[in-house]
Amino acid sequence: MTVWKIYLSRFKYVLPVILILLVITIFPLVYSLSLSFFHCDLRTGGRWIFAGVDNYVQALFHDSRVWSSFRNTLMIGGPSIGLQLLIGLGLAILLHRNIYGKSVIISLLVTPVMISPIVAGLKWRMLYHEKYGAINAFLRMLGLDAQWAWLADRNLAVLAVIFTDVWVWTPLVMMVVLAGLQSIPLECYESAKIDGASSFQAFSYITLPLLKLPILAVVLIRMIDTIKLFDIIYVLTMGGPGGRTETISFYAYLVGFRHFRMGYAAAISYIILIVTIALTMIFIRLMRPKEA
Amino acid sequence: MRKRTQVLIKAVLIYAGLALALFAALFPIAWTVSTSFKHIGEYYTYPPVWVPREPTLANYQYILYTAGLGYLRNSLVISSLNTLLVLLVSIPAAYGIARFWGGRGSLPFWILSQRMFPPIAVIIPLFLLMRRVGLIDTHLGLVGVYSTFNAAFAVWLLIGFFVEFPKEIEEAAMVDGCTRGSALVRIVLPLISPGIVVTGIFCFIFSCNEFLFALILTREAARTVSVQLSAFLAPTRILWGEMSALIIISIIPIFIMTMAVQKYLVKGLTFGAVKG
Repeated sequence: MTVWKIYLSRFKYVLPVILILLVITIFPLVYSLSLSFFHCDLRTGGRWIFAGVDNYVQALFHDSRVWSSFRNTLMIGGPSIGLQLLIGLGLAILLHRNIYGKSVIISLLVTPVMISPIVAGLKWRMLYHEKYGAINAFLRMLGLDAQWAWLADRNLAVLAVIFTDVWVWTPLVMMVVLAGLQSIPLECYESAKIDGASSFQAFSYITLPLLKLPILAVVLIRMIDTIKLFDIIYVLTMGGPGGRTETISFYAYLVGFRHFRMGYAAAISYIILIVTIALTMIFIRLMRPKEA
Repeated sequence: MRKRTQVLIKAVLIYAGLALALFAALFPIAWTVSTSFKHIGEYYTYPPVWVPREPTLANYQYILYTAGLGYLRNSLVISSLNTLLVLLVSIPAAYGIARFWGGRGSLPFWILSQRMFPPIAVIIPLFLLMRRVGLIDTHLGLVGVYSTFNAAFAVWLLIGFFVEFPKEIEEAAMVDGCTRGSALVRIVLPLISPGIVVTGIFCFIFSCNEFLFALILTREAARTVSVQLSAFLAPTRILWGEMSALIIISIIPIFIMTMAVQKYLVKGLTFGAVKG
């Protein structure tokens, strides 16, 4: 058998998957790239008119909504991922010991991740209702005169989206950190104890450095997800009030499927793609072990 | 004595923290359950009622009999077909990568990178192409679209199971006269079937939960539960009770499946970036 024949006989195993990926991802991405250099408006027949880099110039320099939607994504994603890390880390530390009913507690805590974001968004939309919702009712029980319009107030709406995102994704962070904690060998702590380290010192010099990799990995995953953030916005605020919660993916959706400007939407989606790839490369570099 | 009080206080704090977390995680679900048993007068009451005073099954009756089961069936058909298709193509691929490329190399990374693409970048061309060939609002269209991101994920997860499987068993079968293909089907697959089931369950849940593609690529005939749920958000009066009933019906199977794959949750949800 020649080398080529062996190679072919191995390749046939992977071929079907590669074909599917080519047809449904690579081909559309190439199509989309070429589309981004054309004007293509479905309301006026959808003919392709060559535009050069017009769409990109428009998006980067003349469309303030592109920038404000990037800013909104950051304003939602930053605090949200921060809170997820804080709460997730705390919960993982609480769970990393012998606890009565641990596996049941974990299964219950994890449910928000497995429910679809649409369902999560709808649930929270009920809770946020100013008159009939449970959150204002709680606050009133605490003696506040809460008639807050969580989804209609400029600042509260951002908070409302952040809380929902935190509710959905904190369990994921928790599970990842917990898995990281469980992989740290006990001997590390024992030798630290013999060397006279306090438990706080053990935490900051052993636990945190060894958790760096899983934490970076989960932050990267959550950042990519935040750039994709669409479902929760769609059911909670529709980007409102006044565009305050309009994230970049949501704006691209509006341009493409509400205004039907396909060429322009393709250009915006390519800008999103480039940002995602850049972020991923930075994180993969951070995660690579340093050569000493 | 002092020491014991300290331990006790610590234990109380730990359980209090966990109780608080459980409350936060489960309250929205409990509220939905409660709303699903309220009639319209009760879920539009000020101040809100915590537990329905006159519990009713009317919402469930509305979902199961009046509204029709079309979208529940659509979700089920699309997710099952997708899971089957994905397993069919990704089992050989994962096997090949694990055996011939040692589970490493650029191929698995390339497959995984498919998962990072923002869906909005793929959906515009897919929408235009599918509109041209008449695949909008068909089961086939969504099954095909979902198969990419699930195939990437499934290959990635399955590689782990194949790499862990001892080569020797397979080689023994081949010495005894099996071809590579029949050794895979008769020996390897039955032994790693738990891994295949876990992968299948994840694919099923992901396709059930997907929203953006379903929203853009379906209209009426192939509308899924996710899209139907978002359609409850009418501008005037939202039927919260009916919507809650549909939410509860649709999350019960997901909940059961989650319990089944609990051991693999971290691995599945991070695409193997973190070992669970």
